[in-house]
Amino acid sequence: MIRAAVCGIAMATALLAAGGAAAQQIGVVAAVSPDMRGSPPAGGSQVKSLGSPVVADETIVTSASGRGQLLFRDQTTLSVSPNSEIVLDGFVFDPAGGGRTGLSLTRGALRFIGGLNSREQEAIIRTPTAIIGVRGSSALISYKNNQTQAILIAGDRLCVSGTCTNRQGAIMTENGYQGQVTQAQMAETLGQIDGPPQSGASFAASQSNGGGDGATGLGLDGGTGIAEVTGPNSDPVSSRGALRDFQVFDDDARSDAIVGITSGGADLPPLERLPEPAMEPEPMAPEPFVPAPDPIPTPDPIPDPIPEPPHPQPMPEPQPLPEPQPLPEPEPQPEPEPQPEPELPDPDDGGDPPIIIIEPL
Amino acid sequence: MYSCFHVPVRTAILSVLSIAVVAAASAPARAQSSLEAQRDALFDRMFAAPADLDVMLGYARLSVQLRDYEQVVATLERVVAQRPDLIEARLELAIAYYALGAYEIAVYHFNIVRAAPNAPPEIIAEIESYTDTAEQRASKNTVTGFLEAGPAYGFVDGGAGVEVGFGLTWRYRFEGANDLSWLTELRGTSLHFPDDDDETFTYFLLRTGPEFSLDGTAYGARLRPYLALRSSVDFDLDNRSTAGLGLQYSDTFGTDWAGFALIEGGALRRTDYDEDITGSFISAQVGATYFPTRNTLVRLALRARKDDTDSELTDILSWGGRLDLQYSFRPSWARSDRLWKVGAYTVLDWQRFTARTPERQDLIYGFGASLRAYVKDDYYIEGRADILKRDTDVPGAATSREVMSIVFGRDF
Repeated sequence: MIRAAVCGIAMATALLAAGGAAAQQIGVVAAVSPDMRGSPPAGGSQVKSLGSPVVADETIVTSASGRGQLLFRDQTTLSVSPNSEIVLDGFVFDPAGGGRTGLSLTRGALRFIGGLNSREQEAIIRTPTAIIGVRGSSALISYKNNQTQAILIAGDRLCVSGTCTNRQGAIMTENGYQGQVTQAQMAETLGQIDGPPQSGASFAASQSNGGGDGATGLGLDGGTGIAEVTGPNSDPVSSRGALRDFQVFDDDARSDAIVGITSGGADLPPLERLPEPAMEPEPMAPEPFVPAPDPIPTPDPIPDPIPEPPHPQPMPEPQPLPEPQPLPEPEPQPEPEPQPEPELPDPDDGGDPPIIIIEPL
Repeated sequence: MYSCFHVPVRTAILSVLSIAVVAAASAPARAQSSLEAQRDALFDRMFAAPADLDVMLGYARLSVQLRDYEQVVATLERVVAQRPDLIEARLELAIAYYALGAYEIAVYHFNIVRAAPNAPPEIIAEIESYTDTAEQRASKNTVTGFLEAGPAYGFVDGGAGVEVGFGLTWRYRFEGANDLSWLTELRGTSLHFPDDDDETFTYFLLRTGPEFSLDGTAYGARLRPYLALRSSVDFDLDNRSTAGLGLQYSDTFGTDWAGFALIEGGALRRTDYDEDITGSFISAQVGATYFPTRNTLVRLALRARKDDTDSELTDILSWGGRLDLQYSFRPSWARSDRLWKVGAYTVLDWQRFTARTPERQDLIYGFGASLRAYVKDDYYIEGRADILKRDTDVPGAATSREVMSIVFGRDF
């Protein structure tokens, strides 16, 4: 009997321990105004204050005037609007990766800013009428009047019941894409989640509270530095920090054009401009060559080809046609044949002798 | 015969310098793990004491350095919730949203800041610059561009001249859940030297085509088929033009890398010395961009091209590469909220004139540098220097261009 009692106590202790492990802390209340309540799976409803732990499968409820923010271990942040109820029923954090984020929104609205989990795989948010997938993104999600609405704030992708968008500012419902959010819709949604912006907040008040030291400083040690690395002409960055290279296909156009190449490879370079008229210092015919207007091919073979010059020689500076030189000894030179392809022909040239370009070998 | 191994000393030095710069640029990456460790420690403290403003700010600062703007937004949302009187926190929240491309919500917060009592005029002006650009980027039709002109000087040839340039980019976003745009770009550059027409050139590019996501994500693989018309005109009537169809691919890899590839082919026409040459071309480009920091870019592009023409003079096979470095920053004393840009590049291309007997080989190499300073709002001054050379095994045909210019321009 005693042994059975001991065993029972031990089993109960183990079960309690297991229950405690299941209710492990997954987050913390990071802001609350004025109140928020939570119902852990193993306990009743309790008031949540700043710093209160949040455990897996806990239900968070806000009153008609209450709102708050939850910070999770994977750095996910949830802002909960008044009149909301969420159940943290799918959150698993694994510091080594492989965690997941899931919750249910049974009423109200929230702002979801993704953490490490949703960069690895989609965070899943369920409402009574839709399943929302958020990947590498932040979103505003509401459920009211039996309709789910999700707005992709920023990031890679947002899916609602199987229909996805990658367009920031897109409004999605169970019926698919509904267009881009307007400023009025944005103000309404954010007003629902955050409440109206505090009137009376001013730069003067801020500096008197913290002694700001810069135009965009927080008034507390100079701010985050975001204003120093971002300007109106900056390109957007993904939620995981990825940047696109928007100039990649443009940057080389100017320099390539200067040197005769165009974007994407080499364009036609300028034809080499050889010194004209470039003549090699080889034996020349006694008379300047003047081709016939229509040379008739002659069947007579050329007795001996023109001997190749032994080595390429540097091109001389442009000079006028040389004076006729005596033929070298000892062998006589045959009639020079017309060059097959003068590089700079002038078809309209009536009387001027053509320019003969001879490239060195 | 020109030897590819006969690389000039200057090019070798440039290459070594480039490698050194790349190595230096990778230092921030090595420091990243240290920053992440610091931030993890701060997160633990923030998790334990979520009302500690100093810890939150420290965490946000490290997140800025790590380019994790989503965490900057999350943290500043908590700061604003806890301290709604800190209007500067909301301004930074708006900028952080803007950095993420969340323009509608950024404008919402900018408007709240703008309405704050005693908002300094410089803050109002900065906000207007942000909101104007945000509304432009979020609109269905986006037209952006630049116009610039200024004096130029050609040191080898050319002498005093002028450089004029313009760019126009029109993006039309189609309706629908996924971002599908039609992008049309028009570019023009002209360097004119009145005393030396041989050095003068004008270059035009018109490129148009759709751009869409391949995997349905905003920052994943993107594809862009396009039609491109290019024309360059020398004042001594050397005209070169191409009409081609191409395909651009771009993607991001992790936080620090982006990749790209391009293939383009089409017809070409060239008029040189009254000779009309026609043919076809095909070109390809592949490369990667490394972002060691938010505002630092190191890009290496490898490229190849083949021209087949009806003249053996211009059948060309070329291949080479280009290395770009760019850094954006904003001096604290600057009167514009736009980021200044300093950049440098080096190029190295081989060209073979394959149908010639004997075959001709050219080596094109050089480097350039630029600094763009925004004077006020969208107005800028940009100084440029380009030293580009073409060596060839044809005596007397080598060319060299050393051009410096200072242009005054405006983005719009």
